[in-house]
Amino acid sequence: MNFKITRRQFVQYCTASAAALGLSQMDLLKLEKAMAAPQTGCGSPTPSVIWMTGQACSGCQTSLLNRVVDCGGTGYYDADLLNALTGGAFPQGIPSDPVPELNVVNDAADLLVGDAVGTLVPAITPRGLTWAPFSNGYITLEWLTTVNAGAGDINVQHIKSIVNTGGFFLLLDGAIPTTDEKYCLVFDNEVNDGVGGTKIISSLPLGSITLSDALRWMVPQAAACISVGTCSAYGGIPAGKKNKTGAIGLQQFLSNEGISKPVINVPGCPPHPDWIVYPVAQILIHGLPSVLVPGWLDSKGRPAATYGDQPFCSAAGSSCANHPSMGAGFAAFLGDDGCQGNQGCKGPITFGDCPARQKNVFDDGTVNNWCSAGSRGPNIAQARHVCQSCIEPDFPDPPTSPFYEPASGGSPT
Amino acid sequence: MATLKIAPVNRIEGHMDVDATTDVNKVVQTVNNKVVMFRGLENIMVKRDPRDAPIITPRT
Repeated sequence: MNFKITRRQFVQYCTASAAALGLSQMDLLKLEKAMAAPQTGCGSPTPSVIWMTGQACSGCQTSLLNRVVDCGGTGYYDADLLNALTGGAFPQGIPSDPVPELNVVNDAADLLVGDAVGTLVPAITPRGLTWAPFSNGYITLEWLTTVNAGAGDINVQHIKSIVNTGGFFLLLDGAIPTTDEKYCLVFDNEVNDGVGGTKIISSLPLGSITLSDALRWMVPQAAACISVGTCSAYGGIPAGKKNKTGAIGLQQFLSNEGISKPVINVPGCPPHPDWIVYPVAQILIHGLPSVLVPGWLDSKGRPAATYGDQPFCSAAGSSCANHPSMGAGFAAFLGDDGCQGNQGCKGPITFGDCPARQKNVFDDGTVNNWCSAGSRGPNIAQARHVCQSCIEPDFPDPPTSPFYEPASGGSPT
Repeated sequence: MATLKIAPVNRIEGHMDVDATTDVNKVVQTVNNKVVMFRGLENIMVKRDPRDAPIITPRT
């Protein structure tokens, strides 16, 4: 069962997103070449990806799943992508019947939720599922509990073989508890033999496996790790002041454990899908060493190209459509026209490209928004909330909060 | 009597385990659902600006 998005579809996605991903025409050529001859040596014909979930809310996964880009699918559900997502997750031989060719929406829904056609799938994938870089067949998504077909020990047996082979990429969303590692359990180290189970991963204890134990087992075998979301990068909300779980990010965890492994932080609550795709595309195009050169990551361990070393808002200017220099001045109340800086917008202390990149690109490609503004123009709704500085290590504690008090760094003017 | 343990339960938003026991006729006798992740957002909310609550608590 080897389901793939066509090469044409993936290249279409990358071409459409080239500017957003910072890819040049030369990069696209290289990408096409890389796609024509996928790398091997990761246990499967394509790089394996294991996406673990810690103390998380699935928001990061949803951010990626909701990406609205037409990459060649038909209708709301892209049957090829659903195939790729669910087919690639099955261990060989289970289930016994191969997943049939899917052509219509209802078949795709059947595959995901059995009889409950149309109830669960729209909740997971409103407006279409376009997860091209993760499901195009050039990356094999071996483990992501939110979308994996199957459950329980068939998945655990599968992940065992992937980890033992090594060379996979480990993605983590969610923080890691430390005061008691049992605050986050990720799978059970037993198979169901009907008489109480059998130990199947020799280096792990029998019974429920904590996230920490799973990471101690997996990370040394991984090629590299990507921390998706602020929780995984820096601790995020679970690590907020007065928390009882001692939550920390992946980099901190590895440093505490003395495990040396490259980690790319992709913070955000949730991160923009482009931010997640960018390091993945970079590794596919230029190889892993290209992301390890000094300067590719900024001082906070994030790709410098998408986060950067300057706050996106200052007195000098911003790509924010509500910057005071755009003429509307300051908002008198939250949501009024104008800069939200005096309402608590944390733009001046946030290092990212949110106002330039924006979210919510709808089907017609016109409407853009980010937390604090939108494109100026007729019939375009502006968010006009405040930036909460969700990509910074301090989030959600001061100086990023209180969220509705101006940043201590001052307003943009 | 046999026990059935499903961990993780997939295709849900979050972490969950299920333990079930069946009798000799393979009829399910007991089922325990276990939510196996804890963050304690209530603790994190202590002494915060109340206006921050609707920003932090939806991220669960």
